[in-house]
Parts: sequence; structure tokens; C-alpha cells
Amino acid sequence: MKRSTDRIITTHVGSLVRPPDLVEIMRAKESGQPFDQQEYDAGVRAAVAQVVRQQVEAGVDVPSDGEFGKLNFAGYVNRRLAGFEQRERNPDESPILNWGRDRQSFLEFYQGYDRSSGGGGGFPVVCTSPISQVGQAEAQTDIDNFKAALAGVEVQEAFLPSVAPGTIEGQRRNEFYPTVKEYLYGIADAMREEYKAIVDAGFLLQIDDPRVVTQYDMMDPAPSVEEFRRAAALRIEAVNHALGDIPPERVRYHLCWGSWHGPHTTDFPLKDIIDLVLQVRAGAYCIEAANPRHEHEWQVWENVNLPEGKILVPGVVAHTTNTVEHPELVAWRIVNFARLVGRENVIASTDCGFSQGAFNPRLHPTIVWAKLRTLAEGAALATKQLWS
Amino acid sequence: MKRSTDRILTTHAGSLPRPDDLREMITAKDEGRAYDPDALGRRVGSAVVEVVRMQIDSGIDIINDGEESKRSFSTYARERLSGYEERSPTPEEQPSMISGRDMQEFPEYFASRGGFGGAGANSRQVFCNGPLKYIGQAAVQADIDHFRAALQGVQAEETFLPAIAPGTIEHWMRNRYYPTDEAYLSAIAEAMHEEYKAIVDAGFLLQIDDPDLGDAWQIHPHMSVPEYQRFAELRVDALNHALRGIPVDRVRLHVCWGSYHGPHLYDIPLRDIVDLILKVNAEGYSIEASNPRHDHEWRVWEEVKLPDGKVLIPGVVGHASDFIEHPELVAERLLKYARLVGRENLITGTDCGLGTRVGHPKIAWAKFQAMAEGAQLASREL
Repeated sequence: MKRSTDRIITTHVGSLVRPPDLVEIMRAKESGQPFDQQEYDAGVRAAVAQVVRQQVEAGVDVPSDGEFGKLNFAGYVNRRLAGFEQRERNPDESPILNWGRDRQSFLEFYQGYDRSSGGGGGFPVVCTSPISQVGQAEAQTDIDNFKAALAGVEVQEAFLPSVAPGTIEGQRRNEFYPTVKEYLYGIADAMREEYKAIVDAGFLLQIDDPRVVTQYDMMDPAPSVEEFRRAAALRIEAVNHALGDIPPERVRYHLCWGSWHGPHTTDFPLKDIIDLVLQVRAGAYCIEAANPRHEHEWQVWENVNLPEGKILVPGVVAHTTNTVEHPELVAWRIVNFARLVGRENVIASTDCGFSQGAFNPRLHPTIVWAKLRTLAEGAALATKQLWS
Repeated sequence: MKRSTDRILTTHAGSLPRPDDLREMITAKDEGRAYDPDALGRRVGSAVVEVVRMQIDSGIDIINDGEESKRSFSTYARERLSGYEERSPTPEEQPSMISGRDMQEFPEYFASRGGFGGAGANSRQVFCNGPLKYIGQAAVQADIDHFRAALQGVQAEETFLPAIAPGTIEHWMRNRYYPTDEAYLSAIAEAMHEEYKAIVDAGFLLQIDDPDLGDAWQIHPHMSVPEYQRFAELRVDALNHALRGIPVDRVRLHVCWGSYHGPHLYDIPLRDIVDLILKVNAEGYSIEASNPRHDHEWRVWEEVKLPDGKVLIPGVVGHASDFIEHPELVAERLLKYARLVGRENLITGTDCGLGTRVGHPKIAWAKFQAMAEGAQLASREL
């Protein structure tokens, strides 16, 4: 994995805002209306090519495909895994089992938020039979589109995101496997194929695992720290099981507290789980750190050693506000991390993706690009300070 | 003015959530629809009682009336001034925006938010077309009376009432009468002096809301920094004229860059206006400082000395997102300031009024609680 050997390099967490024409055809496809498959395929390919160029122009050193081939960062596996079925939803039930204690404390806020963000829809998905990977062709298309897009541009490295077993499990009830562990390992065995395909294609694999911490908010009453850590440890074992013999230096692990724009008062503290996170067999850890609920957590690294050889990829710009981070703030944040874990062990990044679903961008695309440019400017300022 | 002598005190920038029914009554009044003045007065009174109690419960030391009687922090002054007309602007008179420089780079973003980043535009515009006079004596007295009544039996460290600066009035009430900017600003200052004096005479701290010190930079996209500094200095002089005779230790100044939810990419740096801010005859300076465009500017105080006897009130929680600031982040921010300006010269504040700028009233109150908890953590450290 490339590191910041002579300057702070930049990346982001994966998803970017899809262009309107692509969104339109995705909507048609998703709502079961007629659409032209060839036009769709060509549209995705062209959009990936464009978004790769845009990332390079914005100063992103380690770009992704914007997740343009996927409907969203996690739910896309519904098309790629056998063993699940969609159910009718009763009105009090969350579509993806993620209505937690923060929502209860700020119910009126969330009701307004759902209305304005178009959230709260969809169907629950339930595991009812043995899980297997059936999405090889789709994953290969993602890989081919990204490879084609990267031909002719200069990047340090490139990554493709994929979702963690625990995040898939947390959003889907199990009615088939006798134990949670067997359910998690069933998912892990199936996802390993996708992980391997990404790494075999020469890309860095990013494992997206918000659920490893967001699950805390979903548990009611709140579990004790120990109880929650036991649950999280099992999910992290499942990630490692899924990673199998993939070399850790080809893997980065992304952790965040869910990208919704809410109060986040029930987020689990990083300091209480960081030791477990570092057990994931990855070469880099991408951790949300630029929003008002987690910004103070850079101080966790005053007491925790980043293990030898590992890379920290903190969020230094956020999707939580339309206000564009000042490059000097970005630099300040990077320097804070660099002083604690070493400049060559920091890659500057974003808190989370900018469009976790094709239909729910977190910010206007022009703001997203301004944020990625400010990230690069801030990294350049930090480089000046750290290599002077 | 109380200072943080044995712990870090807390306050906020002014506007607090208004109840829906009160908001509806005020809007009706503002738009010239039928409303019951007595019922409105009673509802303002009960709303002020409620927000006073909520501020105390949330751990705020220096409290206000939440601006409950006002539709906005700025345009409330319309009903308190005479000498203007309200009409549709001609095509040449389209208003400049406090997001003017941002809008040039992000037109699609602003179009997606109804043109103004959520800060609310008014199709009708206000033009000064005759001698300006203050006619708000009864209105400011009503604010004073409601606030006094609400404070009965309440233990607050201190109390303040906000009022708007001449420069900001100049933005939404454009001059079609006075021969020069100086003459116009002086007339606004003369008029507003009455309101400022009434507030201080009633025993409250006066908070001057002066977003124009920061956001006029975007209103006038053609200006260079030196041009802008000259422009702003004239407005500061007018403000000081309006403050004449009022004891400096009864005045705090609030400066921000406009609370619209936008990129703020082109906000003027604090460094370029800090000297002007400190020129205002106030003892406390409340400055937006916690959103990602201004969060780094605490370092300005590494270079600029806060003059002796002054108090800095940086925003350590903000309206830029609905995330509730972690108390440890609040404390971290306060510690950075305390090291530079001295703990006794520091009061905890908000970036701007939170009342109408966050997703729900409960978000505002949760932010205040986080702020108070953070101030306690900081006090322990300091």
C-alpha cells in the first residue's frame, strides 16, 4: 500500500454523487420500469471514467470508482448474494433495522429529516436459506469499468470498496442459520469471493463496516461497554474470516458511525473499541474524525499505539455540513495526527462517502468537489509543515 | 460584565427556538394579515418565560429573551424605524446577497436551495425614502418588560438583549434619501442609539449583532481587502456613534459571517477584520469560530493580543450541522482559547443564533447542554 513517504497523500471513503442522467436510468431500473441495458452499461462505464478524471483533477491520490456501479454501499449485495428475500414491512419497522436510541431521543427531528431526505422507505431483507455469492459478473463489471477508467490517468493507487459481513448481518434478520456466528461466517464465506476479486484485479480493497459501531445505537436498552465489545469482537472475527489469506497490505478497513445528518448523541466512543478495530487484518484504518461528534477523538492516539507498519486514514473533511473546510483547518487536523502516529503513517481522507446511495447524495456535487479540493490543499499545507 | 473568574461561563448568540403558534402569529403580523395584538403579547410573554427556564436548565449562565418577539434578528427593526417604503425592486435594484461571492462559484448549489442557501429571501425590498426616526420605544419596552417578568425568581449570572448594528440595517434598507453613505449611516446610528440606550438603562447587557462586519465582504464581491476594510471601518464608526455614552462594560459585540448553510468558501478571514472588530466600543467580542470554515481561526489570537479588560466569546458549538458537538470537543476548543487569551477573559458562546438554523428545537437545546458540559470539563482542566 502506498504511504505518505515524501508528502501527505489523499484519498476518500468511496462513494461520490452520481451524475443526473445515470441516476435517472438507475431509478428506472430499480422501480421496474423498462430501461435499455446497453445504455445503462455504457452510462455507468462513461460515468466511472469521468469521475476518475475528476478525482485526479481535484487532487485525490488514491481514487475509487465512486461506487457508480452500485445502488448503494451495502444494499447492493442484495443482488449479489443468494439466501435472502425481501419482505413486506410493517409500518413501525425500520427497512434496514437501523432505527436506534438517537432517533428515539430526537424523534421529531428525525421525522422531519426523513421527509426532507427521502429516507425511511424500502423493504426489510431476511436470510432464509444458505448464503452464496452470485454477483461475480457484477463485481467483474465494476472492476473492468474501473480499470478502463484508470488507463491514461496518473494515480498513486486505486481502491474499490466492499461491505463487511457485520454490516450486511446488522441490516438483515436471520431466519436460517442456528447461531449469529454461523450467520456471520456464512456471509463472510460468500463475500470473500468479492474481496478476492478486487485484490486479484490489483486494487486496494476497502471494507466498509459502519455497523461495527452503529449497532450500539440500535441496541435498546444501551448495552454495557463490555457487552457491546463482545458483540463487536464477533463481527471483527467475521471480517478476518472473510479476508482469509488476502495480504493485509492490500486492505483498508473503514469505520464510521453512519453518515446520516443527525445528532449522533449515542455514538459509541472510539477509545472503547479501537483495540478491537486494530485486530482487523488490514494495512490501513479509515476512521471518521472531522465532524463535531468525533473530532476530539484524535486524542485517542495519545494513548493508543498505531501498530508498526499500519496506516491511519482519518477523516479531515466531512459530509455533515455544506460549509467547506478551510485548508488550514484540514492541515491542522492532519498535523495533529501526524505528530501522534508519524507523518508517513497518515493518509488524509474524508469522514465517509458523499453518496452512500445513488439516490441520496449527502451534499450537492459542487460542494463535494470543493471539499475534495480543500482536502488536497490542506494536505499540501500539512506537507509543508511536516517536511520542513 | 461578568467574567469567568472561577469557572468558564456560558452564553449564546441570541436567537432561540420559537413555538410554532408564536411563529405563525408573528408572521401574520409581519405580512400585514389580521392578528390579535393582545394575544400576541401574551404569547410572547409565555414564550420568554419558557426559554428563560430552558436556558437555565441547559446550563447557560448569561441568558436572553431568545428574541421570541422578533421574526428575525435583523429585520425586526423595520417596525421600529420610520422613513422607509417597502416595494418590489426594479431589475436594477435586485438585492446583493450575503453569499454573493460563494454564489458565483456555486450557482447550482444555491439554486437547489431556493436561491439563498436557506437564509430566506424577501421579494419585497425596503428603501429609505425620508428622514429616519426611531419609533420602536413601545416595542423595545415590551421586550424589556417580557424579559424582566420572565426573570422573576430566576437566578442567572447575567442577562442580555440583542439589537442590530447600523451596518446590517443598511443592507436590507437601502438608501434613497440621504446624500452620502456617511450621512445615512449616521442617521441609522442616531435612531438605533435610542434602542441601545433603552436596553442598557433597563439593566441588561446590550449585544450588538453585527454580521455585516464579516458578511458584507460577500455582499460586495468587487471589493479588494483594503477597499473592504475602509468600507467596514465606516460602519464601525457608525456603530460607535450609536454606542456613544453607553458604558463599554455593558456592551458585547457579535460578529459572524452570515449563518446561511453554504460553502462559505469566500468568507473574509478573521485576520483581515480583527482590528476593526476590536475597534468597536464593547467589552465582549462574540465571534463565530466552530464551523469548518472558521475553526482554524483561534490561531489568530496567537498573533493578535486581546486588549486588557476585554472578553472573548468564541463560538464553540454551531449551526452548521445537526450533529451535537461532543463535550470533549467543546472543552478542547475552550482550552485552546484559554491558553491564548487567559481563562478569565473567555466566555463560552455559539457561532450564531441556533434558534432557527438547526433541524429542530431539540437539536438547539441539546447543543446548549453539550456546550455547558464542555465548559465544565474545561473549567476542571483550567
